[in-house]
Amino acid sequence: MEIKNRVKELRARDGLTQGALAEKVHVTRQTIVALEKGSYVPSLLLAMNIARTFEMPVEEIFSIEGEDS
Amino acid sequence: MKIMKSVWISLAVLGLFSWALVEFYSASIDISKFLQDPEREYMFEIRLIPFVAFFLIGGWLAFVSIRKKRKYQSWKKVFLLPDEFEESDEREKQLTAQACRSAYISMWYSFPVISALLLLYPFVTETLPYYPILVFALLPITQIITYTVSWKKNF
Repeated sequence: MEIKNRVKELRARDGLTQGALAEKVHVTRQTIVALEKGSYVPSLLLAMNIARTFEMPVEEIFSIEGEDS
Repeated sequence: MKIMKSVWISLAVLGLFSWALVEFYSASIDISKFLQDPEREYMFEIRLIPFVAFFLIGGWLAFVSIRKKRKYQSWKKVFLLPDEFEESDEREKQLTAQACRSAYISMWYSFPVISALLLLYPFVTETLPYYPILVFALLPITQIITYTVSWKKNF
């Protein structure tokens, strides 16, 4: 099972750079890069921080691959 | 990548430390001979270049490293943790944990090989009396390389 996310799409929607989002959620830019590539699964804390930044529920940003959101 | 700089610094310090130990080992042999034969004219001879290089270059590298880390971390972390530990967020902490796991596993493979290499010591005693120091230095070098490869692979 893999987790997919909409971080890249939502970041573009809000006009945020990877660096700006990284700063908002207190991680490095490389972590955002890895997150968008799908090579890193974030902790619950980071997922919730990202959800708060985009003002959306966590489950609308992160979902299990193959399952309907 | 910041970690590569730290790795090169660690390898350089380790190399200088081994060089100084090799020189010190020669002096130890002299001291041992002197204790067995007090009529010898001198106690020991030692070349100071390895020690000067270790303290000057190693000291400078340590100073640079400490000054860089002091901005971000507590004193405890600055002095006790290796430079290779990049833990500025949760992903880097995870990478460090994976790399430490790999380095630990590598110890179980490198230790028997290094121990076996020590069995060759009787054959090189004359030409390389400091052979055990060089062989023993292979253990941290193996672990540093394994740590770095794991970190870079997962980065």
